[in-house]
Amino acid sequence: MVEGARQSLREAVQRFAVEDVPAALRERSRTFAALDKSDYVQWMQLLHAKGWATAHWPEEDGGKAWGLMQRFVFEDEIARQGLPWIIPFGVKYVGPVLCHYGSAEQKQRFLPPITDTSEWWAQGYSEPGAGSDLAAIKTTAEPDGGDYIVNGQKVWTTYAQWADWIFCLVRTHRGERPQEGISFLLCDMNTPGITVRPIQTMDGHHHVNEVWFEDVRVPEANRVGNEGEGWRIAKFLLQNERTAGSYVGSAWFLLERLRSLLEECDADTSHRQQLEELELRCFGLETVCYRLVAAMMEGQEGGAEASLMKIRATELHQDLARALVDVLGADGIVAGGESLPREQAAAPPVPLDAVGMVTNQLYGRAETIYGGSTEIQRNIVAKAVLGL
Amino acid sequence: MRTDFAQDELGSMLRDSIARYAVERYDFSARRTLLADGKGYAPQVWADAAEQGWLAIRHPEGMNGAAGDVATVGALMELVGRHLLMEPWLVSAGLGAGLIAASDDDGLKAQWLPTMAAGEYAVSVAWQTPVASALCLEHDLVTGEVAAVLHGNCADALLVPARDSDGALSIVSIELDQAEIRRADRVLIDGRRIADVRFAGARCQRLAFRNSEQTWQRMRAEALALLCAEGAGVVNRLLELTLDYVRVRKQFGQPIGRNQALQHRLVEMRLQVEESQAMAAASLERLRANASSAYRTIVGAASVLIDALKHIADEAVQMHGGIGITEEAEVSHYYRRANVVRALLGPRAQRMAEFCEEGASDDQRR
Repeated sequence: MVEGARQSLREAVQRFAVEDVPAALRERSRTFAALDKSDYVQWMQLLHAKGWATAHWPEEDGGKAWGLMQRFVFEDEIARQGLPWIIPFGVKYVGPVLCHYGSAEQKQRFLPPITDTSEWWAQGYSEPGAGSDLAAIKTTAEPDGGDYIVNGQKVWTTYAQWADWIFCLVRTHRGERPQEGISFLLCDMNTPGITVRPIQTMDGHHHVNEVWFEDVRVPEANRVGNEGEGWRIAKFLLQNERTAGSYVGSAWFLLERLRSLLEECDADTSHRQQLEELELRCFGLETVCYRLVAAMMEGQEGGAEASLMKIRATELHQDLARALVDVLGADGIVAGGESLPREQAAAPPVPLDAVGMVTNQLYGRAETIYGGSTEIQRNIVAKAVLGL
Repeated sequence: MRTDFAQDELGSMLRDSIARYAVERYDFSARRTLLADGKGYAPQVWADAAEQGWLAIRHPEGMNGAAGDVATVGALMELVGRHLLMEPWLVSAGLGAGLIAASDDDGLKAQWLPTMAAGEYAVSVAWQTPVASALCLEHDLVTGEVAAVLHGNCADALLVPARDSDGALSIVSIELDQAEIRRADRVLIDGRRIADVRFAGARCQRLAFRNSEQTWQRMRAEALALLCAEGAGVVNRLLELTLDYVRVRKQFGQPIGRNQALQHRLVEMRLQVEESQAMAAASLERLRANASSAYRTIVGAASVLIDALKHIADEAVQMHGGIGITEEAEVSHYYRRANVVRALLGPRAQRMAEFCEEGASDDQRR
């Protein structure tokens, strides 16, 4: 994708941010406010109206066949503008899985409501005993007269409390290796036997859940791909999960907020030095990511590009989030409550997004854990890149 | 591993009895019940502490106190960190009691110390306010504001520095239920409360000291040393929790603690725990001995703890995986307390600058 085209896309996103996204939503997103389902649905529909929500899908499935680079640039700029998280479970995860591995019937049934977010999806992967060791999943799907009976428990299911459907890795049989016998199953969240329990995280918000399956009947037609193909599909999906332009854009967004915060607080030299170091790291991350994505586009992938990007991006985001909170000082440990308006000239007012920065740092601790922890990503790189 | 911060019989006794109490009555599950009413501390615990004499650690012997000093309080503060105690131990039983007991005003001591010992009266101290930001004192009325007073929401009185029109500095106590006072309570990420307080001509009482400025500076040094002790308790417990977890959590067929990569990182955490405990202990020791190196040790310790609290808390949560982020897991509560203590000890750049300045003056003295 030539530089001119990249620049045009960025400018289109910048115009969209100002002309199409309601100012209130944009402001709440930029100040780390917790958004609810109606906010996100509105947001996803704005993207859909621009033809962007599923632009990376194949044309025959209603997409624009955007390449990896185009998608990366788009996601980068969206994040750079501080716009809301593009909810990936439908448009980026199960959608492309269906485009690639789904039957005609499955595509017909499920793709349209994904494109306009009229159906909300959750990702049923991890289990209490299968975090880093995802192949150790125990949720079973036993055949029963053209259906599967599903029993088990999924955990860390983001926004399952809002979901209409959930795609799950389930065990349909046991093979020699744990990866064999895993299948990819689509389940209607309204099916009797499915229970969602909220997990409260230390930022005080409700992002993730436990999802319990007790004798849940799921039609065989909801299996994507063949029995035993689940692991391969899972890896395909994880590759998409870990190749996110928002890695770069979020870093720049946080850096610019740090820069403006330092100006508001009239901060000292050491903080400025820290800003410079972080800026260099943002620049480095961008340079590395774009080079890796270009290599992936040309089929030169070694198999661990996504891991390299995730390791560095998530570390950097966490350091940026910490830097913001540290600059806030006494205000950086406050979870809530109103301060008195500061009268003394020497004391700057508490920034409106201070509490948002605090919760962002606390929940952001999870970035190096979810989607494959840094430790797992390092294992992948050691094996695939270093040959150890 | 445990360090004896008080290094004397009184401190050891205190540490052992409070530790026993905390294990029996203030463990993680009990804690959540105790804090359920949202006050940010447990009134029952404060009452129990009063009964045991733990609130009179710094009170003179002649007033039913233990006549302990800052190092004695340090032993208590390590437990505050280790057990995530929520009550105003630092500002009331530690710093506040210390200031009042050290004042030359017997009438004031007689008025306040008994009710403080009985747990019926609690004070806070605006220890973060430097002398340069002292409030205004005119005709015995205080004007100005103090932000982020720890436990300011539940304190009955606040001790602050105030300067009159002659420029003379006093340490004053202000009862907080006056109409001329506005308070805004905020809740910290670890559940404790702070208050922003504004005084518009509030009545106060001056504490009598030979040198108020020196006394206030010394109290500020004590505050940092005591927070280092709390931090040492926090990081030690974070390491313990993490060791427990990596020994039992199995993935890929074995406990994750068998991975050498994690073992090396755990050793690094252990080294930083060692450094934290040593620096906190040295700070308290040198304060007790009135050593000339005390302040340099304290700001050095603060810098070490600021880094250790971040590193160890981040590593502890990382090694716990997803559960480390949850409200239900003990480690996430220590993570948040670590963030709080770290912020109270900072800003880091200032401590480092002070450390280097103190070092330079030491050189000059040599």
